[in-house]
Amino acid sequence: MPYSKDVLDLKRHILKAAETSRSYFDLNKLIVDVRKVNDSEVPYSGLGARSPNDYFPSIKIIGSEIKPKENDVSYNDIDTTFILGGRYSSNVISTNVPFFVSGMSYGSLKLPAKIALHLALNKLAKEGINMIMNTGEGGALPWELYGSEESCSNVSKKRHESILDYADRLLKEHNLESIDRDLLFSRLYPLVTQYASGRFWKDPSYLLNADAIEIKIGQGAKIGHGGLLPGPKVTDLVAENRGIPSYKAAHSPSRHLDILGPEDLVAKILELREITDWKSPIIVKVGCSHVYDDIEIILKSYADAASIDGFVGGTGAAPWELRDIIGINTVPSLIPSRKAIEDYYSITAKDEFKLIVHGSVWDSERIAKCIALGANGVGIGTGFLLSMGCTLVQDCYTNVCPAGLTGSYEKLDIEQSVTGIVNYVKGTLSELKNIAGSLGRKSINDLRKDDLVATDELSSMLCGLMLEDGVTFKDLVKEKVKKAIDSRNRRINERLENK
Amino acid sequence: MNDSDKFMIRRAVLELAKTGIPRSASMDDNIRKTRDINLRAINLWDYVTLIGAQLSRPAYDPYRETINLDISIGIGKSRKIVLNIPLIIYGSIDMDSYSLDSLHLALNRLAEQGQVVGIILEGEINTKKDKRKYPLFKKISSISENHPGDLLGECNEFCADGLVFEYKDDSSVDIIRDLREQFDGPILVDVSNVFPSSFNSILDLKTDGILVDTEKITKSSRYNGKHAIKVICDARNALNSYYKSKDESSDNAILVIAGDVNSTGKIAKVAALGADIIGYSTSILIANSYIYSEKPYDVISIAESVYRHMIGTKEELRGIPAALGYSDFHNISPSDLRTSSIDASLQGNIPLEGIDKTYLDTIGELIDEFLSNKELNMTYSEVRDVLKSIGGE
Amino acid sequence: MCGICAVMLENCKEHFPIGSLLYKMMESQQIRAQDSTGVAIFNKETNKEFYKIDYYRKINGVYCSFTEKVSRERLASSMNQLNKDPDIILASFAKEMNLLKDVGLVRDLELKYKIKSVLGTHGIGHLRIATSSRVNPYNAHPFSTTAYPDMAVVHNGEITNYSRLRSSLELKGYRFFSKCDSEVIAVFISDQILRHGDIEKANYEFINKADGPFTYIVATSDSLALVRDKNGARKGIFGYNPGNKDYPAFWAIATDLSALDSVGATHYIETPEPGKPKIFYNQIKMSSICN
Repeated sequence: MPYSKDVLDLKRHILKAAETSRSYFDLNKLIVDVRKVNDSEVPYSGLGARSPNDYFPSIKIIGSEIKPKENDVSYNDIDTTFILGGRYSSNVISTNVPFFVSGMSYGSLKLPAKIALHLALNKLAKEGINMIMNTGEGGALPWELYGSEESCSNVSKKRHESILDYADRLLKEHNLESIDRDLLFSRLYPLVTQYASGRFWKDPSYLLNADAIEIKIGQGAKIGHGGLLPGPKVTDLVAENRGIPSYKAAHSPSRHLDILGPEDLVAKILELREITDWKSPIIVKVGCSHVYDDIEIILKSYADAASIDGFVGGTGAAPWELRDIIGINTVPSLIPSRKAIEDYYSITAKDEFKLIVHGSVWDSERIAKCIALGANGVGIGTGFLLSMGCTLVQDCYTNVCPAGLTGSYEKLDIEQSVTGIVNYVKGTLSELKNIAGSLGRKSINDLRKDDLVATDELSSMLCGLMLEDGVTFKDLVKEKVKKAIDSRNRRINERLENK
Repeated sequence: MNDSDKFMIRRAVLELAKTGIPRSASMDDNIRKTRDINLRAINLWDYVTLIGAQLSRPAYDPYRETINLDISIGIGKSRKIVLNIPLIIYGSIDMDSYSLDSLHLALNRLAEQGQVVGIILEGEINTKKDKRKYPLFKKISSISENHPGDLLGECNEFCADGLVFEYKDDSSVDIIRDLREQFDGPILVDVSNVFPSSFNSILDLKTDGILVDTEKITKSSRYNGKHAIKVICDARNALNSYYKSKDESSDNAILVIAGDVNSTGKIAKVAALGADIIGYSTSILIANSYIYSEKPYDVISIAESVYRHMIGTKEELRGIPAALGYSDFHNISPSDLRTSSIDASLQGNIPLEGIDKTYLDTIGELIDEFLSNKELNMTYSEVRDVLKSIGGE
Repeated sequence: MCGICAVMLENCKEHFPIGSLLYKMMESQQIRAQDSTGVAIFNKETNKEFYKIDYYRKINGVYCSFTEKVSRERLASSMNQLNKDPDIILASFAKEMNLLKDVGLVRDLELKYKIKSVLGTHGIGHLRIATSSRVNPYNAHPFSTTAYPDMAVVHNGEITNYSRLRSSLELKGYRFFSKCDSEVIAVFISDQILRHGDIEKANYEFINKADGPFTYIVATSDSLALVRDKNGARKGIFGYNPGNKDYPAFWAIATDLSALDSVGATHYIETPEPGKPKIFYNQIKMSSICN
């Protein structure tokens, strides 16, 4: 924990004062107050908010198994394709994994973790598992953008040299000069670059060399608040990559300065379409708030996909209180999003529009639940960090990370991390196949709402799911109403008798 | 994420990352098994969130644009007091003279920098007006046998800028009327003893605000088992219905909510439910913490702590309306709230997330549907009573 | 959210097919928004004995359009009826105003209502791309209210504290017909006009109370007001066309410069200061605007 002795002392004193005050205090949040006392600044925190009810545990997939009971059963031939693009873009990204690495930028993650992700995805690609990676807001690394021969063709020789020089310095800083350059300087997986309000990128290759572009309007952890990288994490090299002063906190504007409303979004997407010659698929990412309205706007705006990020969605740094109180959960926002898409396509017939879901999704079962509820793809962030050894202490906003992922004091074992990621992806993928296979489906996309049941009233109501005992929410209400009438009439009768 | 969830998430992913072969049990099954134990520790406030501004409504930028937090107390002819942070320091916590001194120093320093915060104090006040730059509200209770004139004399002695009068019973009305005639500053009435009745008679006396202590009320028999959310919701509704019958609504009495509100997030939620000013006790807590420190009588450094904490809180408070798309803190409204709990929806009339309707509205619509499909046969009064009983009344 | 425009003849004694000017301006701004279209054109020569009320009534789950002519004597009772009926959505309440709106492009509006040939002294037009309420004819702009006749509002942007303003107005007894945030402007301004009759003061009052990025134009029977929010987040410009022998001189307001260009209103192009309403009165002299 990065708290100094002073802070902890202060916390102890305030705790004692709180305990003797006979008044109600939320002691879980005491540290937030202590930090404000300590430096009078807005306290930040990392990863996702704490949601007391994120609905996933109260939804069950009936009749599915994540591990087949009989050893000889194999569901390897289940189709897990996810296709991005094609609604307006001429290029189409076709992957065989319906989940991918959501935006985690260099800066919020340290270089070894970014390299581990890059190498792991390359390794998976060689084995035929093609997974999408999102760069995050803070720009891409040289080998991600200029990873192949042809991708260097549209930069000048001088620029190319400076890129290589920058790569050298990056590797040197983390003592990674011994890394295999040929392996590093190749990218075999599809890359999505994030077009965020900070605009931290320096040349057009960022848009041109990417396989798809994601316009980030907001993210689940800090909806309505711009991206944020605290000062201590903006090292010289991070600052150089983003084109900002070093060791100064990078506060992105809370909105795109040129996207104020729907017509601006249309204009922006058309601009990006022209830049990329209508080739790259374009995704628009919003944090879950007024989801139906937001998705409706995205549908009208020439985008290929919409991406929603739930309340629990993680981040490198967000104002603590803001992260904890703004936003709605992933599952209840998934339902209106899908409804918006269906309402829109009731007018036109084509359905190339994809819905991507982020936030509180970590394992295969949750991916399957999302897909069954109407998502096409799922973005995972924290899950990949966990497979690299994240310990969930949520200090990602500092430069200290016990696992060496977001801070630089611990060294990350890249090789082990690569194995972890590869195993995590493969394991999750085969679990997904098992879930679909054990339900007798040919494709993971065939999962439907009927495969799910809810274990409590609220989930059943919000998601339109059957309850465990085969009762629909409507029947439940009907029973409730009947009971209420009975007890009411009984009460009235009793009162009459007493008179 | 709470600790047990963290443990299960981490275990689930690590198992996969180590072996790469499917696990035997999923994470959600494990969480479901332990959830009932975990839920006990969670407050209903945690189920209530605000919805932020995205595409359909652009956000403001707290670092680059002005976000207004000011609020003025005082209606009609009474002297106006403007607070730059919608907080008033108030809590049922005992303070000694050192705590008071440090609070005094901190509030003065804040006021010098244009960050005026109010304070409500009971008992003797040892700061004289000439040295005070922040508004002070003197709390007086009708329980004391004093004549209103005496009460006022006491206030004048300490030069209080405003009064907080604790309402006890119908006899308090006369005292308030007398106070109103003689005192030109704002008068807030603490209605916690009689809540939710007597609102109209108090407002008829041209009082400048109502103070509601949720902690006291939720402990009373009338609100037994109910949450502070319900209290605030009822208080706002009572105020609104009073002004509904009046023609001019531009100059309304304010609602001060005190009680279990002590974090920035809750301040925003309470403001959304309808509070104008929030009674905030964390500053007192920090002022009191000096007792346990190594340098217990260093009033200046403890004042510095209170000051820094308030500045931090103010910055946080600026961030929240901006993220919701408002340039004014007081524009946050009940329509910005969503909840993931049926209980919270019923108590605070808060829409459920995803469907954007309250639980009761959804049930009402379903009953209408049953009636029009002739699945059920109910009279109008039956429907009303059923909705009431489902609503927990 | 949308594209807005307005035209006001300098000499309001004449009548001119204002619709044709609005049509040109709207067509040049069509790129901004495609969901729905609407215009409100003011004509002093209409029959002033009757109030014209256009509304949509829900019949078997579908909203159908109706027009009613009401004499002054019967006005109060029929307004009362309108305000109480939950199946009714008001489109326009007018004496001199001709308010036409529908889903679709400007072209579709022209085909349906022949807006190009509508005569008048001034008028406003609107192109909508929906942000927070559904696309249908009754959520299309301009908005009119039951509180005050001959007033229409077109709006570009978001009123973020819409629900707070709306609930305070509803407490005063005003009826809202749509879920669109723009309707709150119309009701608020009507409320203010009924109180003190000063359009400028009404707009200042609204700027103070409202939050969010917005530009709107309020048209009444004798004025047009262009208003931008305190931060000036949204565009709104006006220009002057001195006229020639074929058409009279007029002032034009639009979101985009291209729209002013399309009608030749390229003189004295200016934008109102953020937070300060710019008001064009009937028969206003040029000098009073230009300084």
